[in-house]
Amino acid sequence: MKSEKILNSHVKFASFILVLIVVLIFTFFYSITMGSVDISVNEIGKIIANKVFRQGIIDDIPRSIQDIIWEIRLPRIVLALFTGIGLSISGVIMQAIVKNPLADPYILGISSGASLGATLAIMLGVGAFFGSNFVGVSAFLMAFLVSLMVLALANVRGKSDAIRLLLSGMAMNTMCSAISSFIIYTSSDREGMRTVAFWLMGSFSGANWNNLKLLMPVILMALVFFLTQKRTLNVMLLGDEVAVTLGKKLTAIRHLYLLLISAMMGFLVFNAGIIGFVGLIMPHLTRLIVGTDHNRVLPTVALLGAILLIWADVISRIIITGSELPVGIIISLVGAPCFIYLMIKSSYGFGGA
Amino acid sequence: MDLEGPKLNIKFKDIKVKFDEVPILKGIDLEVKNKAFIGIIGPNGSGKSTLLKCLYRVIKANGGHISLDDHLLEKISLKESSQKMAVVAQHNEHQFDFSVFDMVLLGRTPHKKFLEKDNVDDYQIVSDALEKVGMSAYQNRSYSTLSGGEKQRIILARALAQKSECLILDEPTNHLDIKYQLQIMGIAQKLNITTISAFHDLNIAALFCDKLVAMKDGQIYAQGSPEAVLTKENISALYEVSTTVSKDPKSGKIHIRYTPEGF
Repeated sequence: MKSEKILNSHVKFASFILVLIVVLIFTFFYSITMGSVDISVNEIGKIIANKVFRQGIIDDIPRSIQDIIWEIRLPRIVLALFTGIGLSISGVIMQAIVKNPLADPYILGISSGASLGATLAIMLGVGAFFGSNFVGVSAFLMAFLVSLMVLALANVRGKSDAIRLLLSGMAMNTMCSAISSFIIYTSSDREGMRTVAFWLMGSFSGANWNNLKLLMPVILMALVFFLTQKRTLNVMLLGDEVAVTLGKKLTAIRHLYLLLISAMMGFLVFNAGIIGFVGLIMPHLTRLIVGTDHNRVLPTVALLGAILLIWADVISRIIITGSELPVGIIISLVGAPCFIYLMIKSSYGFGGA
Repeated sequence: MDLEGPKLNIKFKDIKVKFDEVPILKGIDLEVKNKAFIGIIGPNGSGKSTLLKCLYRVIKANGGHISLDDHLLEKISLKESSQKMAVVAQHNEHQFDFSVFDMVLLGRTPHKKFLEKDNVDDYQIVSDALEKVGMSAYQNRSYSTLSGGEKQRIILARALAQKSECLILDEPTNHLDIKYQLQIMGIAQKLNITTISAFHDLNIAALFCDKLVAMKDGQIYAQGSPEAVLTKENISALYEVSTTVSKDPKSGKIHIRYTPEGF
């Protein structure tokens, strides 16, 4: 390739990322104005400036408006943003680790582990001593525990490989779901069942600054870390043998990645429940647009994931007046048909080549 | 450690490999001189590929040592050894697709420090490598859409982009038609660097190699010039096939005709 041509494609990609950043900023502020109470952009700007930078005076804005913005809308949107980043990045890494385009962050058994934790907590009151948020805490603990067990299982008898990891994940998934189903089936607590179902479908309604203070640094650190791993991720797609001939030993690196993803997913489950589809689809959607090179995939997928989840949350809040749909339903309902359309229209091979 | 310099001598000393207590290599001693083109021949299961895999560090030997110049291979980092040796192996199918250019660019990995970006020099090296294998026109194609022969040429280009002093060919042409087999070996020969290749086709091995190493049951059965190794008796002992061996009057190369019973 001529160097001008490469430079040209770099400039094109940089402008694309810039556009995505602008769209994300727009989405972020626009979504704050969406809701049952009309609040002007001007007021929102003032409130955020005051709360974040301690600038300006907002005494002329009613206390209730301040609370709606700062305590209700903003935390949810921030949670949606970070969930989008976390899920999409984890999806990309997971697919690279197992070299399988069907992988998503939940194959480590995290979703069924979390469901089991939540079911145990809601139906049987397990972990009530963790305080008011004990459902989330037991979901987090079970999710993390199960993913560690999957990793350990994949490593029994020495070398772990992608297939063993996938199969251990599947086995643990099935086992955890079976236990959850058993508990639900033998219980007569209808209200509890509904709570479990709602919880499993994922929602941002429980967002608050206390939990976000923990989640934000975790996701940001993981994002920054993985952005430094772009070359290794590219090599990872070629397999362990080729990686060795290119000077990289992947075994230890893979374990580090998996641990990081487990932790990240545990925090996400704790804050937002289980939101499927994003971690599977966003990596594919991104590769469809920018190709397989992780230099391009990682920044793009993080931005696209954030934008998608904020919009999904907005829709879930306004689609039924006076009520809200679980965000997972919106994503699957809108995402699946869009994805099928892209799949039919383009020549992208989805890794199957 | 200073490994610079144009020379690369490789020494295998008493290399032993076992899989589940079954000995695959039973103590291989071999010396590969700088810039030699060495062919390894032998029937399936004789240990050709295992020997090469020990060299390119996918398999760890249970005994013995390999040294590059005077440095023990196990004391050298993977990064350093991948700057010294580039590999083209047999299977190069992947689940995820790269553009041809990006695929070759991955060959620059051993030379890159943590967080170092690809620069104009890397792009130039990739362009040159693609040129050498005659695939310049394909650089924007996606790798998965190429034919088997084209893929192997791209992988060869990736190995060239590693700018190594040694090229290891682990039966890369096995499933390719004769045109590509000759083409890939021809490109490798022109590089004029140390080359070690496993061969199935004895005539092709005779055509390109300075020296042949014949393996049988995890041991070296014979080694030397193609004339010395590819005798009627040796081939019969290695492959249990009867042949007529002659010398091509024009090229002076060994020529083997298979003459199984009934022909």
